Amino acid sequence: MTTARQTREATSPRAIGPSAEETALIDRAREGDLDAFDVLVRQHQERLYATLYHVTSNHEDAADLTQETFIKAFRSLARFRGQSSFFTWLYRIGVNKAINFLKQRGNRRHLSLNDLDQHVEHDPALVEMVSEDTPVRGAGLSELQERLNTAMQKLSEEHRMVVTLHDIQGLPHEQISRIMGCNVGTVRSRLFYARQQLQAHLSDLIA
Amino acid sequence: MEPPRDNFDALQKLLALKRHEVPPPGFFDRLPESIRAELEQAAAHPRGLAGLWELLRSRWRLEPALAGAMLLAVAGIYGIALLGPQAPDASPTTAAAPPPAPSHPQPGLSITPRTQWLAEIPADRTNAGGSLEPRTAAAPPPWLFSTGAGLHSVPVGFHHSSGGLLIPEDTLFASNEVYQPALPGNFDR
Repeated sequence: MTTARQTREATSPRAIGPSAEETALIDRAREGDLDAFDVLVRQHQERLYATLYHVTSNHEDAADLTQETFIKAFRSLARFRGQSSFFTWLYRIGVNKAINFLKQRGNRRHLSLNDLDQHVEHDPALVEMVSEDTPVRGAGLSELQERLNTAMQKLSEEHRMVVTLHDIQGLPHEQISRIMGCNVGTVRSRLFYARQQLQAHLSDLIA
Repeated sequence: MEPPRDNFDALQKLLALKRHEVPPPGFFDRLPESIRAELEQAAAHPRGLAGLWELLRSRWRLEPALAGAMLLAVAGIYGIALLGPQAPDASPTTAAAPPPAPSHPQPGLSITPRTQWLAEIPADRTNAGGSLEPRTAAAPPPWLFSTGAGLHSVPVGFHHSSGGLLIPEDTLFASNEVYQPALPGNFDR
């Protein structure tokens, strides 16, 4: 049984193309083997769901988008030529779906936030902020979570996506540019602008 | 060009909070099952026409096209209704040629058939088959031009003593009997 760490390494976003094992799974899935596709789903679902959740701030919407992304990917496997990693190709489908969904949704935002896991209180970054004399110290975690998600929803879809992929998911600029279909300079400028906007919205929390 | 650097450390530390937002327990066990069920259902029920319709609906906005199609349909119905009465009537009764005129008129027949003049005109100069063609070749009812064969006219007069009406009340209604009024004495000859 593979551990989460082994799975993450096997599906590293920095990989240029799919690994041999992944290529075999893709070939089998392309021929209609649902067991093979099920393995691919289990390898990538957590990261894909997390990205879609962070850009929608809604669990139900993210779950629907994740399912639709995998179904579309299965039906489009014939067009996957292996020029990028399966992860990048899958993300591109998911990102396009999410951006279209967010544009259609417009201002009808409804937050449906997930609970924080038990490790949050031991996160070094948060511990550092709370230990220092900052406004964050006085705010509860739930309040911080809601303020953060509300501020994220004030960004445009593209800016929110870049912040999510880079600052939350930890993807490099080059891979974000391949996923979003734009050049690296655009990714960098969008990231800078999005951070400025977020900082302005959260200025009372960030000293 | 590299955008100017700014101090986003505090923001990035705050964004770390979002990495700890997790879906309800068991979600990642159910999701692959629901994806598989969806794919199996799609494989078991090929899309067909209903699927094609759904595909079209998902790809394009069909409302303007449907509205245009409805407009065309209504315009077509109006067009047919307006042009229909003007179209040549090809029904068997009107398309029938008039009866040929007898080549030798019978000696005792004094009335020329109503359509005989048509028979005497060359065929290429008539309106045969057109809308001006008589719609029926049936003869008119006998009472139409034959007086005295149907309802009879009733002579009336004025009489001072009977209130002015000379026709008895029982003959005011339809009757085929010829009314013979009882004329007053001053009308007797």
